[in-house]
Amino acid sequence: MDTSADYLKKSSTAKMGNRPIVASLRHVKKSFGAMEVLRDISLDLHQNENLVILGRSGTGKSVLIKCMVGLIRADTGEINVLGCDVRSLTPDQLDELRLQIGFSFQGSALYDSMTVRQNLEFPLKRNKAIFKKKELEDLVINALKDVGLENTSDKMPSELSGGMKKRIGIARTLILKPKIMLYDEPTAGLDPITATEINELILSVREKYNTSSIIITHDISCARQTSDRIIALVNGLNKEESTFDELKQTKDPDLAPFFSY
Amino acid sequence: MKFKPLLLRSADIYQFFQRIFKQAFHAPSEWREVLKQCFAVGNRSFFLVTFTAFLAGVVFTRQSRPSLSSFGAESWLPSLVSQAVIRSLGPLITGLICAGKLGSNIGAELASMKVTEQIDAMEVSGSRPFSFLVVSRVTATTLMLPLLVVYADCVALLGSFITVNFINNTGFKLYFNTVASHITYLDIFSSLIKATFFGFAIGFISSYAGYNSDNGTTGVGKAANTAVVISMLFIFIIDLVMLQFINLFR
Amino acid sequence: MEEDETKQRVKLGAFVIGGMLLFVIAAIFIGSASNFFSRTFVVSGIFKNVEGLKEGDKVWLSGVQIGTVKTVRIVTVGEVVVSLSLKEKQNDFIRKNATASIGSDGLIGNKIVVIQPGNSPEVIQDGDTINAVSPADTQQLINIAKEVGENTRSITLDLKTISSKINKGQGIIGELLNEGAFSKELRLTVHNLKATGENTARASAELSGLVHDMKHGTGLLPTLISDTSFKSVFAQTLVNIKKVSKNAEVMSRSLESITAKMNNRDNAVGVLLADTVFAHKLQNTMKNTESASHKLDENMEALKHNFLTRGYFRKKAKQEKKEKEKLEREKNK
Repeated sequence: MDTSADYLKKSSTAKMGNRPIVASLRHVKKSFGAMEVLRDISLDLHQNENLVILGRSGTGKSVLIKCMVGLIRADTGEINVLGCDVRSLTPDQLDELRLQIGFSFQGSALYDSMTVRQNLEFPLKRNKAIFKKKELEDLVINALKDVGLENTSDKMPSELSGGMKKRIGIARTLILKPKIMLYDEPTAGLDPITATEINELILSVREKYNTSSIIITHDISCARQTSDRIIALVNGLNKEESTFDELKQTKDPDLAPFFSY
Repeated sequence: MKFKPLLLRSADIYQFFQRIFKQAFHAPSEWREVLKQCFAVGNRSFFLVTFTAFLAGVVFTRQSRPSLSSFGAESWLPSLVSQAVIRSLGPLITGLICAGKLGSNIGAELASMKVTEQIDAMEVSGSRPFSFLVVSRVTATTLMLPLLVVYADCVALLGSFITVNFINNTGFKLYFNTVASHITYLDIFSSLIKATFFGFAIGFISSYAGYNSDNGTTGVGKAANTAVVISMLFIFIIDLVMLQFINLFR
Repeated sequence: MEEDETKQRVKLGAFVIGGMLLFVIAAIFIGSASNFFSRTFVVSGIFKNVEGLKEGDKVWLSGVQIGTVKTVRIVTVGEVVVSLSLKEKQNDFIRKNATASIGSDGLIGNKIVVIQPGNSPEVIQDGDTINAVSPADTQQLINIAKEVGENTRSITLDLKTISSKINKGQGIIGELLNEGAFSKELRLTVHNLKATGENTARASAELSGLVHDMKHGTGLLPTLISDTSFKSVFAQTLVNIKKVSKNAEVMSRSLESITAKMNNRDNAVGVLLADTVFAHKLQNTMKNTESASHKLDENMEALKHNFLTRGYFRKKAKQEKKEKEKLEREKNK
């Protein structure tokens, strides 16, 4: 029987041609207590690709990308991001690597004691030691323009709507010019119109910043709009991997319900 | 096997402790944030400390007066009150008030940041949230508690003086001369050192509770609760242990 | 690998908890052993009554705390063994024949053990017994104090009557001090005595001249005198008279000086009149006051020219001038 990794290797090379791989996971396992969340995950992320990971709630999608940035330590397996072995990095090296990865959280995770401007300035000040007012201002305005919210800079996060928060959250990661973007449920809790706007933003970010992205979602329309390639996660295993149109035809009892609405 | 979670937890606490010290002295300093937190600590507890210390001074004076006057030693009131306030009452009241006020504040603040993934967000943008959030707060409480204790001592003595003045017409100069002549430097220093430990305990326990809180809104409540209760408990424990050590020098 | 890490953490946890427990136990233990930082030695004494002395009370040597009471234990009725834990540093000062007694410290009366160091050449050793002086019974002390108080009262009463008598000029001392009739008489007597003495001296000198004439014999008397038996009797008499007159003179002189002293030094006016030094001082003081007021004048003048106060003085001067003019105008009317 084909192991998932072998299957993955075959298909990846088939679909993405010879684009370089920027991140790869091999046989990643993670369990919390007795519960196995990730049983054996392997995947590759290619340059400038939008990879959607589709799965039901509680299948460990978020855990997977948190393992990739070292927020959660995987029990076993290999995680290689931008040429670094994430699991063996020192804290300082890990911070170095994280600067090149943008992470958009499900709840957007804005620092609610700071204004939008301070939110965006925070990573600049803490990581790049940029303190000049003019420079900060330019970077902040540019990032806000890219997400289409240039006149919210003096608002508090509590004054913003859910969609705006998402955008600001994305702007905060973009300000560090990441090479890889990880989106955790970008459209969760948003109405279809706002969700579509976010999906368009995800695409425009790829165009503008030339990023490779992993998009975690259970929203099939999000997957349709943003994906180059989809990996379906079922019971902690990567079950199916294909384009959206191929996946639509699936007869798999675990995946078919996604498309049957 | 029931011991295992306890042991794991204490190992975790120890590592948290170690991390604070490592980052406080080795990581790039967070003086800007420390200053901000110091101000917050003072600002949050200033009114409460003033109020409680003043009342404690008044009440303690009024309650110890009858027993002193029953053997004609009313003139000993200032020295009795000053020793009680500076050795024990001032640090204890400040510690408990700050444990309540700052403990719940820090615990809930960090826990809600944890729950809404703000701490994770800092982590993944490489912003070193531990030193930014935890080290700065622990440093701030450790530095500010002694200051607050000095302030509380003064306010409590003032309250006591006003009471004594009201009843006996004792003058300001006489009262504070008596107070000053019965306080030793050992009293003051030991009380300040005690306050430093109180401050560290409050900051450490509250930060730990908040930073390691469970996810979900119940986690926030639990963290705040743990922060306050354990901080208060530890204030009494530290008080006892410090008493033993201070008695060696007395 | 995961298992190993968990094991390690469990070990660390056990270590941390163990350490904390040890620390707390040590802290509690340390507090009760009060002479922790200095080496100590133990001596004991047997008291009849310790008056509430208890463990942890202080031991004083010359008012310095040198240790604490370690145990208080009743052996039989009327015998209480008190063992004292003393700092080793003070060992040299306490001799074999040192004594310990129980005293109290401060107003509230915390009991303390007071050690008298003693003077024997041998120094006290660890485990020795120190001579205990049981304190007198408190009631006994109070009785003694009462008796002393009574005596003091009667003495002061007597003193009071005596001094009031003196004040009123009763009795010899009183009269002397108050310049009464007696002292005037005394002075008069002395004066008379002095005059008598002077007369006597003159008489005796004349007598001696007469005797000389007689000796060297012109006239009738020498024959009489050449009778040897009479001559010797007469000479003896003369010598006696001379002695008496001299004694009287000495006595009168000393009496005079006494009265003079009494006159001059007894009251303030006397001092003022007699003591030139004091008068001189008074004069000086007067002079100083004069010069001081002169200086004050100068200061005021200087102040007038000071830029800070100039305005004030100018204003004042103007006002005065105005008032003067006003007065003149009124006069002119």
